[in-house]
Amino acid sequence: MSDIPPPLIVEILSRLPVKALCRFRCVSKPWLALINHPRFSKMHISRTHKQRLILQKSIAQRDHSLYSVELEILSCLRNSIHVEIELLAEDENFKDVEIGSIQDEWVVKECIRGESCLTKLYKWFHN
Amino acid sequence: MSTPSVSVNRVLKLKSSDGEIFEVKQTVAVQSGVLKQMMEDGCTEGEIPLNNVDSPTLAKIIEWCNKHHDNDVEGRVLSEEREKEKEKEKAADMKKWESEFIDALNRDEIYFLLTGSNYMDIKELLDCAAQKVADMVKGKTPEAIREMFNIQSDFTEEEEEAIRKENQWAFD
Repeated sequence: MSDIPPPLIVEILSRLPVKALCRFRCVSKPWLALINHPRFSKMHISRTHKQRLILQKSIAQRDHSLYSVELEILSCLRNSIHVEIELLAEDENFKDVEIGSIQDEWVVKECIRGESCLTKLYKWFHN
Repeated sequence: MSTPSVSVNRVLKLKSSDGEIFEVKQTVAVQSGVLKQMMEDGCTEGEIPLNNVDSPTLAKIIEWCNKHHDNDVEGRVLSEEREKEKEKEKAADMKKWESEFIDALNRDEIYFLLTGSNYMDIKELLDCAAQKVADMVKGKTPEAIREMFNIQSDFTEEEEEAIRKENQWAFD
């Protein structure tokens, strides 16, 4: 794999989970630049948009609705404060939530098609 | 759908980098963007040299394309008969075949398949090979990645430390 052409490196990296990408930022400067590039993020989202976290507000808040969040979108919006949270309990009901404004406690119920390690992202979500 | 210049019974002669000749039906070869373009341009007479693809890799690529071609043909018949259930079953069988196909290859073979499918512009095979490599590397450390891809780190110790800190959760 040592003489793999750069376009194929992009093909491979764009298929990796977020956790691996974050770890591979310190492989080299070109890899860091690639992983941080907006065009790469876009490509990555388009391949992995189906990874979702299922969240529920903590019991104390008496809201038992389930919400789901697209993990990859969360990760790509690190520097922005806007994320779409889908309310699962009711059809076609989307809630736009500003991350910065979330004061609620959330409990991770399930990780669909994602890696369980990606729940760590969720920590960042309300840190 | 096939392009008008593609005939069911005609074959292309593909010549691998090590000189072996492979015959491929035109209807199969259209999966390669490069060969499809050549057929449209009418320049597929004689042997078509594929200088970046060796014979073991080309054999694998053709096996893949034949399987996908057969599956597509059967799929069209099924959807005409509206046998949705069977169609689903077929898609699952295809997925299974694909993963068995790719899992049977060693690291070098996957590398050649990746570069070969890229060179011949066969999108689905490139997808499959790239996903396989991604699955192989996703659990690795940055050090292991550098070794695998023969990359020299150009960070200073301090720079690398800072990036590791920023991405600490990914190392847990």
